[in-house]
Amino acid sequence: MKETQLGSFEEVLLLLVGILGEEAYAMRIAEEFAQQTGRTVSIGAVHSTLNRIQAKGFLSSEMGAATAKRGGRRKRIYTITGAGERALIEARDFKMALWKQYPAFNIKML
Amino acid sequence: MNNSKKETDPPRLAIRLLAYLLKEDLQEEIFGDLEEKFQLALEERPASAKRNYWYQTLHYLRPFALKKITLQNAYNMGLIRHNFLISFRSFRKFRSTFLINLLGMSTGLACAILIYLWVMDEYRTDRFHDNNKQLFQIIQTTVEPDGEMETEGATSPLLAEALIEEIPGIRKATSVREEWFRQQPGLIQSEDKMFKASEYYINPGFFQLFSYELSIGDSQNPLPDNQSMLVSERVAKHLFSEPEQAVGQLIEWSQDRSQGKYAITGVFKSPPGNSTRQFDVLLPIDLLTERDSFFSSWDNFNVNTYLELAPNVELSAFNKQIKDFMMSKQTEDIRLFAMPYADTYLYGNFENGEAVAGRMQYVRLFSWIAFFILLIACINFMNLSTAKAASRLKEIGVKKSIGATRKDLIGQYFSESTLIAFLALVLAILLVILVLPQFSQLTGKVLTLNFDGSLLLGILAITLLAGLLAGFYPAIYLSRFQAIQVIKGKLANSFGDVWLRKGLVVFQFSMSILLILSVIIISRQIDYVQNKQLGFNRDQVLQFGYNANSVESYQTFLEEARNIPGVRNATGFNHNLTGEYGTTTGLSWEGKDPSSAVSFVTLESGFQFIETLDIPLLMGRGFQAKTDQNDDKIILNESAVEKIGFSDPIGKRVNLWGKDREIIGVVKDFHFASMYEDIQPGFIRANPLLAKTMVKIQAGEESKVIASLKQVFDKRMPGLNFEYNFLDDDFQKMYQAETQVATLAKNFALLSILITCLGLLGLTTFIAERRAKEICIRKVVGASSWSIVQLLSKDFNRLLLIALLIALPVGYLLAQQWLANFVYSFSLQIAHFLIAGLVIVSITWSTIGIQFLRATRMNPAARLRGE
Repeated sequence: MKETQLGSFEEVLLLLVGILGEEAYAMRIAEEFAQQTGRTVSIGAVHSTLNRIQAKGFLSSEMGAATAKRGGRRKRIYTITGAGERALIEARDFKMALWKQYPAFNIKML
Repeated sequence: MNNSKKETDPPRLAIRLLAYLLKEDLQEEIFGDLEEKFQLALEERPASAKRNYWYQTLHYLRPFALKKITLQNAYNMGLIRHNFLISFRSFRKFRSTFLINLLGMSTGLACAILIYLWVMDEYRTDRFHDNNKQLFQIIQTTVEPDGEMETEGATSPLLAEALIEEIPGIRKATSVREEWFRQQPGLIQSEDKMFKASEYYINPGFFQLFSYELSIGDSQNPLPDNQSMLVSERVAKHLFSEPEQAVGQLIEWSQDRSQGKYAITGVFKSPPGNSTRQFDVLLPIDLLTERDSFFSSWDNFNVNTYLELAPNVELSAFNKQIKDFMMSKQTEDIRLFAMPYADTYLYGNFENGEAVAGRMQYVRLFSWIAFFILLIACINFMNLSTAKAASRLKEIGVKKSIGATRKDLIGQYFSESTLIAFLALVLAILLVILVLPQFSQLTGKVLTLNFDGSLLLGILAITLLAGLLAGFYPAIYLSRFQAIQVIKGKLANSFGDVWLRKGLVVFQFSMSILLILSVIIISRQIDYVQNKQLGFNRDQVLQFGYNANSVESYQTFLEEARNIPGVRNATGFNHNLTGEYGTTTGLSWEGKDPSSAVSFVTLESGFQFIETLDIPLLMGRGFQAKTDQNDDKIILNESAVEKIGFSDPIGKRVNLWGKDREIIGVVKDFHFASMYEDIQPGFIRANPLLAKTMVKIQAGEESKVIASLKQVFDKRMPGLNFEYNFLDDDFQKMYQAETQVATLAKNFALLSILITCLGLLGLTTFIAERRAKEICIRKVVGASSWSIVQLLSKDFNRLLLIALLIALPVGYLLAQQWLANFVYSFSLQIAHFLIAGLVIVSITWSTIGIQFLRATRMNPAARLRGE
């Protein structure tokens, strides 16, 4: 059976795919990740994770256009599937539910 | 832009690796991504773009992206397991052969790993600057009228700025005044604390060009005025305990050319160990101009000029542009070229105005030695396994007849040899760990066994090379036999194979002879140069730094030193007698051809210098305190007088740097440089205040005098250690590289002989075993042990003779070539070669003899009973 839980790195990548839209391919995602988090990550690590998320059914991908910068090679563009969006929402809701049960924070949030 | 193609392409090896390993359907997108990333990196940080590509490449080696490794079928897996099993069994069966192989191979590997560590350390020296690839040093060649060339890094202080203004393609340029020739370190003093420190003089651009780290201070303009100073963390900690407290402190600095009070405006990290430039204090170069107006001129060469070139500048084109740059600035025939800063360490010698291998010679030499020692170990394996072929014939025959292909058999022998190599590696690493401290000491480096990626890769590559090298010949040889003949027990040794095996033994012998010969010759030459008459008396001369702050106090100190019982004389000196001296073309005289530039060596000494060192005077007298305080006298050496052409020089006048001087003496030529160099024309000037003091002591009084000197020193320099050495030590230091090479060569020669002997031991044991019956029968019919030993060793003696005939002439040629580097060398004698031959013959005979003699001690009755 395929694992259907989202890891935290997976979750961030999934969100980044959503943010980047048409520009969501491995190298660009790795760059965006570094920019947003300040941590560097290798393209290989990102690619491998995207691959794993896709196997869970949260992402779909197809080959996009080639550009000169890439020596005329095409890139693989990722898009979030319906299941992916649902998984994100679930993940968020689950965390929110936990946040709400945390009394110290609960008071402040009110 | 021609070389830009290489610089802006991703590393080809990485691409090939990926293309080989990655799944085909992923390759397009991955290569695209990596290419894009690489272009991005090139824009942001070009220096590390390639490294980053490798980083990305290695991080793509993940299961999802890799091709499935498909073992063609289970049969292959089984075969691999079988090969290992057979290897282990054969190790166990031929235990002595296995041990000999293992020992030889591990010694060979240990040598190779040690040398690899050393070579890598040499390669890393001076390459730590961020702009390493773009960093260059200007080298200047002065061509004298007689065609002689003097090439060195010293250039005019005005050069850096003029170059950047007039020549395109230079990003940054800066001048650095590195050590003065003498180099006695200066003395830095704050309240009651003192520290000896060597100083460099720099321009503001220093920290932009080099990657030395300024931990406190303004890197744009770290030295705001001529009263400011930067110190290393080491100095700061010593004087003020915390580096932060050093900034703003006023200190006293004693050094003849930059004496004075300075304010510390910054603190830098001490240069790393792999930097050849080591300094503790940085002062502004302008200071030197301020104090000596002659310092910054186009015909004074006293600073090093460093450049950072733009990446698209091609070196050869750039060098064409700057070649004649100096011609427009001054009158001498001076040529410039730029050389990569990182290369100045390994290629720091110059011949005919071009850089040639300096230390690189040693790097090459030892790389070859490592390779040959490893090869000798591999040859042992080859010889023993092919010699043993007869005992494994049945195995080969059976395998072949049940369908093993030749490829399978080749695979088997390769796996056997690589298995041995890797087993040996374990032993070798233990050996390396054991001897690394001594090896570090021997080479004067701090070498450690850090198992980082590059080291692991290096070691694995060396081991694999050894394994494949060792297995290559046996694999080809053993797999070639015909099944049917092999099972019948016929082993037809082809003519070629026997010769190859014999050739390999000859090669081993030859290498050992060459190594022994090189040990003899290097040690003889070192002996020769260290004991050659130098033209002065270097015995019992003590030298130490003494930073006096005035002429009077220095002179009274010297007087006090001279009055110590047991002291014969004392003087100051600004250089040393082992090759650090100034040169100048600024000497002129009546009748000199005004268009010619003749270069003279300049030495600066105190009074009584000639008397202290017992330099024979041909005419006139030496410098005396009473008459020569005014710096208007000069003493020439014999060669200088010859060059100038005065027949009666005493009392004549010459002009040095615009000032007339009277010649008061002529000394016999003496050596002030190493035996690599001829004695140059030179002169001595007197200077009443110098940083280095030499004291001549009566033989046998050394310890008493040192104790008294220490008292005088301590009284005047409280809180400072009295650090001294003997002039003799300088000479040992000068030939340190040669001494190191000699010691290393000695050790490696010993090891190579050891490995060769191991191989011989293996072969002789095997032969004695195979011919056991023959030996016994000979004994029964009355042969003496001695005649049997002679018979058995006849083959080896022939090989040994051939090796001697090859190696001795080759050794002679190599020795001549090496000795030609020296202007002064000992003469080669037949005796040296005889000794080398004798050593190898006696070692070989004792190894073979003992083994065969043992064979003849067998009891024939016991051995032959079975028949």
